[in-house]
Amino acid sequence: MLIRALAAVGLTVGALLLGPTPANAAGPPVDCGSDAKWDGRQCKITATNSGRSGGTTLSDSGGGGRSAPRTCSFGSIPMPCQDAQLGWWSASKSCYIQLSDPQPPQSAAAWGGRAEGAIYDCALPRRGVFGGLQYRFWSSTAPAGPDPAVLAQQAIASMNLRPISIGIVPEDRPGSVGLVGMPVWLWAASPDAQSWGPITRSASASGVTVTATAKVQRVRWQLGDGAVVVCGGKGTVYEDRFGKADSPTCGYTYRKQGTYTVRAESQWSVAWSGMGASGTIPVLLTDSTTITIGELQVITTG
Amino acid sequence: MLLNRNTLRRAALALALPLLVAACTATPSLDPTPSSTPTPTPSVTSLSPAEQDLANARQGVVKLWDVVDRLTNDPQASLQDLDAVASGDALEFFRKNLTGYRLEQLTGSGTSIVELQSAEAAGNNADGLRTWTVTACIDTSKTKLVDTSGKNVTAPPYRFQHRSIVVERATALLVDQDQVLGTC
Repeated sequence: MLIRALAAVGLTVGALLLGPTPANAAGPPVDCGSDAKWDGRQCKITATNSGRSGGTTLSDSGGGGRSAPRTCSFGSIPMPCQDAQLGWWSASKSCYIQLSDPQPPQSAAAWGGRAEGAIYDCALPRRGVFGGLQYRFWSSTAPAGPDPAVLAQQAIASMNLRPISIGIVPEDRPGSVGLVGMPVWLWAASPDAQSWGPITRSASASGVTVTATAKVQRVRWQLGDGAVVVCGGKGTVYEDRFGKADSPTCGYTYRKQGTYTVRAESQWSVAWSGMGASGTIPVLLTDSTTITIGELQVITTG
Repeated sequence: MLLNRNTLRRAALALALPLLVAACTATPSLDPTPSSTPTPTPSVTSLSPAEQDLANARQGVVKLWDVVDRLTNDPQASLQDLDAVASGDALEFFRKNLTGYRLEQLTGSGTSIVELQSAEAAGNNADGLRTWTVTACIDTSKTKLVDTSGKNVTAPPYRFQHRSIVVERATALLVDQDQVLGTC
């Protein structure tokens, strides 16, 4: 691996002074976002990192065109949006609604002589003498139903998304030490559908379905020294044959020795649609590792 | 419609009204003849079809409040009973208010008084159904709405003037809209 090569006897000072790859004059092939700039091969941020903690985070913040799961209430009384027995909460009717099962015969008064549409139950939770079925009514369309954004979240949960597994040289293992001024390669190790996408899942309720497709848009690498690098792709897996070259897709060079916690935040975008609605939900998942960067010193004797 | 819970409650229960209602409506009434007649024979004042329609429209409003009272006072009674006295916006409104009472575990008692004030034909609505406008003062001062601790949650004023649109449907005259005009 790279760090092993760099630490080997016989390294020249010239090798430690590898210059950066010339910047590409063309526009960035990926959207770096507002906090990063394209340096010719990757989005790069040199500002202080956001301090986001490690671990897996399912984020529901940020992003446009997103629909937050709704909350339900009656006045100041919070009501679950769905009741397993009674159906979906209808704010306009102040009760839970679900399709009457079985449907009353067409001769029932609730039909009002209509042939289309359906009959629905309006019911309340049981509390002493209160609650239970209140009435039945006709409607041409389902008057209440699942929140598509909630179904989208259910679809996302079923994807079992993971952060990328960090691929990095120097590696996070005893005896592996990088060097100040030498390139560090960053990549997504063994990416699969759960860690990179695209992955598509659906969630259904009450006869309606929402389908969501998730894929990683970019990976935000926090290098532990305050620098942040944003890479639009998976990065390039380092091989010994690359020697001391820079990563062509995603890398970094430390300027000071030390032990650094590197965090890779996978920024997923989940596009969902169904029930005549659509939106995107950002999901942030983070993996972390620790690397050591040393400094090569030349000792002159005699 | 411009009802809130208190106005509905205040306007809610109407069983004690027969006399008031009779006094305010043109419902056919028996008119006993003088006692000097050996064999009294009642004479009946017949109503024209238009007058009968107005009387029925007024009765439609009285029936609505009767049912609302009963459903308010008995939380286990089916709200399906509203179908026989209301339709459209009014039906939705009273359904929602009554389900609200039941969610909040409020139980009514007493009856409200319907003081009919005016009634007139209002032509056909957008669906081509005949309609009438009935104005009434609903007095709920003799009613209560209590929570599970027994506390009465109603508060004055207790008298509100309502304007109801009554529509002729296949089976009956139903209150289709109900609007509070103010106190009375």
